[in-house]
Amino acid sequence: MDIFLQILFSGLAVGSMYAVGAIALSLLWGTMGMLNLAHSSFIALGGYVAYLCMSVLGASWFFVLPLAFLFGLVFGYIYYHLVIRHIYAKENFSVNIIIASVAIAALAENTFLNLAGGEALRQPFQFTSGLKIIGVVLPYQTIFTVFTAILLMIILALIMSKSKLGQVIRAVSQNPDASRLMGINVQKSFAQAMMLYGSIAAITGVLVTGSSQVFPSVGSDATVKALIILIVAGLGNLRAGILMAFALGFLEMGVNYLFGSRYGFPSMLGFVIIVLLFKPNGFWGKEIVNRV
Amino acid sequence: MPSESLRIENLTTGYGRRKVLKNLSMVVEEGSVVGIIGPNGHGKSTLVKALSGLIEAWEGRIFLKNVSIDSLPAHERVDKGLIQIPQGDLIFPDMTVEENLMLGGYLIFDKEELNRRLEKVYNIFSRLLERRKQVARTLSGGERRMLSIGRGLMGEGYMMILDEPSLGLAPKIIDQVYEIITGLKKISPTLLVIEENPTRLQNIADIIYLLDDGEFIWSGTPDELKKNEDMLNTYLGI
Amino acid sequence: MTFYEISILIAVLGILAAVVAFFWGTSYSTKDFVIRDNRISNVWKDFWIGIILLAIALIFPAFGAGKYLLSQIVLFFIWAAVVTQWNLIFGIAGIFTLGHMAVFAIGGYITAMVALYMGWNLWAALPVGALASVVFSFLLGATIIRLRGPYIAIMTLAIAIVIQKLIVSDVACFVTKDLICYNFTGGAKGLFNYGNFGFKEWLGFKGRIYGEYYLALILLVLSTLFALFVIYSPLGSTFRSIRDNEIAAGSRGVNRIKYQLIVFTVSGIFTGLAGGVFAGLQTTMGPNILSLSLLLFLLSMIVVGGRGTNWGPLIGAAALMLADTVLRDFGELRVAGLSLIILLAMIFLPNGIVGLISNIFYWSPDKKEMEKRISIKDFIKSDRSQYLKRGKWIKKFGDENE
Repeated sequence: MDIFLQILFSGLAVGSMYAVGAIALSLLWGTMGMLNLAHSSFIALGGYVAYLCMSVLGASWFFVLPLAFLFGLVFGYIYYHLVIRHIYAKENFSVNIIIASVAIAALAENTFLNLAGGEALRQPFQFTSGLKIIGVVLPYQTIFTVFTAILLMIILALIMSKSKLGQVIRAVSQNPDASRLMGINVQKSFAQAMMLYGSIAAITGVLVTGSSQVFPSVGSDATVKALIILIVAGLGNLRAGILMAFALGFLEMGVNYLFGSRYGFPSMLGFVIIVLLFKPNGFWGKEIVNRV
Repeated sequence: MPSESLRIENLTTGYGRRKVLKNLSMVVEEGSVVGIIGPNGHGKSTLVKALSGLIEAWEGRIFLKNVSIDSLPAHERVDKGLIQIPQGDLIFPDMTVEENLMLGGYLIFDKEELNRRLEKVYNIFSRLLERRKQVARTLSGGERRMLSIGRGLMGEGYMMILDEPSLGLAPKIIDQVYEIITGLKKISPTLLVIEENPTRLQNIADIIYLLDDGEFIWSGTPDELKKNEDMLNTYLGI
Repeated sequence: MTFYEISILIAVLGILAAVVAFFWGTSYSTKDFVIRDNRISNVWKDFWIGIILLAIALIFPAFGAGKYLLSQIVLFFIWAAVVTQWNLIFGIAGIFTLGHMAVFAIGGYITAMVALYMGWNLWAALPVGALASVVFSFLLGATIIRLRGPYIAIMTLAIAIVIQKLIVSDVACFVTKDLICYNFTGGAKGLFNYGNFGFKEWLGFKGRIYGEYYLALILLVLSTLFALFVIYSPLGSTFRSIRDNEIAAGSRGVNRIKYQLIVFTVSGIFTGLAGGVFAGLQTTMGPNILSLSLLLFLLSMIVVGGRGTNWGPLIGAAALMLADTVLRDFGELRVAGLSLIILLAMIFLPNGIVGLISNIFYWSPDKKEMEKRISIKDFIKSDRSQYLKRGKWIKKFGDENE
């Protein structure tokens, strides 16, 4: 029973993080058809911003999330205008952007390494104690993470369905040419989507690093995991993505606790591979038919 | 003397290195309805795309109300009042009818004005009012075309370009669509209608151009066109 | 590295670029460019480029280059052999795999492990490693071949990362010798003490580097020959047709999955061999082979050189090795420099150095002349077969006119 609860709690924490990551990434897939491997850079960015804010500048915890939001916004904008825009203008974007974003991830990792050093730092924006339930500690950090994740998802869903920004992003993702004929500046809305994504990803970074530590490559595993979750759920299917995020989070944590932590990620990948063998477009993915 | 609405001077463009339009020139007068006909694959859609800015012009100039628009991106041309109703069903399939229409008025920030236009479109297309909460992909072909036209009307542009409004529709629905286009004459000052086939245009167009292999090879009134049926046979294979 | 050595390297690179530019031996293509389908003359051009490059490589050690330079060139040969095979999959067959380094690592690891645990000579272990790579490559290909392009990139990357994680986290003792615990895969430390190719015994301490040099050269030559063979075989034209228009090729009965899987599998041969040779020459085999920075390094060779071209990977490998030697002086900024190179290349040189060379080659001050050369009307008026004989074929032609 203990171990079951343990798996449940950590699976919840991990799953909610994967879910937010997957949603943020699928925002980019929806608008531009882009799988962003540089997600890890935004996660690390959030972690280092929290460290900078509290440990270096000695500011209150109150400023951490707004600051992470701001940094994510700015770097999303820079990323779009320095890199994505130029690659979008050329053919084979969806594959080229993967290569480019690997390069961005390496660049960011190297930059963090040079600025902050390679050692793992304690990220101060975290809760240390926890709630005791039948002999198992449920850390406040987990509760906070899950709640923030759910809050982020709700906010994102509201933005997408109610605001003009969300309407435009959806329009552009469904039909870029028609959007241009409506007078929508597609480039601008791509940049806006990228900024929205960046701020969400950086906030996730604060949460992820809260339960571990901050180091330059902190987000790389979570990035690849979030991407394969998106793929196995079928890109563009948000509800399936959230479901898969939690399912695979529980699977990973279960395997971690039962067989040792080195088998968590491989078993997750194995599951995904088996699914994709039978359903190449993911569980609930639509087959994309190219018109000639 | 009616003033100029649209002027094209020596427009040349294409895809990649492939030239499709060769030195096109034409003048559209304000308040007139201009039809452009021509066989498939001879540059009609390319002309529309070049006008609306979806592809860039290689050479030549485009003026709207004597203002050059050839260097503007597509979305700014819409702001200048050039509204295109695209070929086929370039609607937003996963959005509701009303959301689609609202996007047509994307550039209008005044809420009351937006509602006024929405009401006007619903007055013309009562079918769309019935289905306003429905997702656009569930509409029938004729309803989609109505949505497409209605969305264009939301912009209340200075000039409207309709790219093959009868494409892929049943004759009965084409009749309805053309009824609406005839009604548009009263609303939109200038219309440019592209069709493969002149039969429908003959009733509404003031002047008809024949586009063949990227060049205008003939222009005249619908009556003159009727006299030149041999030419139609040659170029359109009717 | 002395100034003298750097200038030699630059001179060699200059000759290389000049040779390629002179013969223009690539079947270069972009969306709107002219494909030259005169295969036979291309074969001869590639033949002459190859002969000249080989001659330079053969006599190069005779100029008395230093040991450091030679060992760098050995590394260049190995990476060039790997990216040539990778380009077969990535550029020619159009499968966007990022797991090629895993195939390479499997070859190296199996070679080292067979030598270490079974006591085989490293030469005998080489084919075993290559075979293991082929098997792994087939399995990897069979796993991902039905997926869409971007999916393939992510999945293969994930598989490579997982393999690296499994190796790094391997702490169980497989063999215990002299109270030291050896992990099966070598763990984070890597495998060592599995012997070498014995060049020291044959050629003496001083001659060893020459043995390594020519071994790596043989590897590169074989790898390049194999790649050219695939490109000029019917398989190559099949891939061109698939890459240009998959649906059209499919409707003509081309089985994409079958041919892609074939090329995926056979490219494992020389990748695995390269892994084995690398393991033998480095005398250690560690998990950093699967690191992101090395993946990026090799990937940028393909991107910078020119994807899907015959000599692009080779030129890219040379350019990146040179850049790396320069960047090495900056220590910590090396990876950042590499990332910037790949980003700049993707933005400004989408068709790589080979694309740049061919653009210069095709550059014409008279734009009208250029248009005339490939205008559609010309094409229609002229007899198509004559047109082909003149070596001009317009890709993307006729989606409306035909």
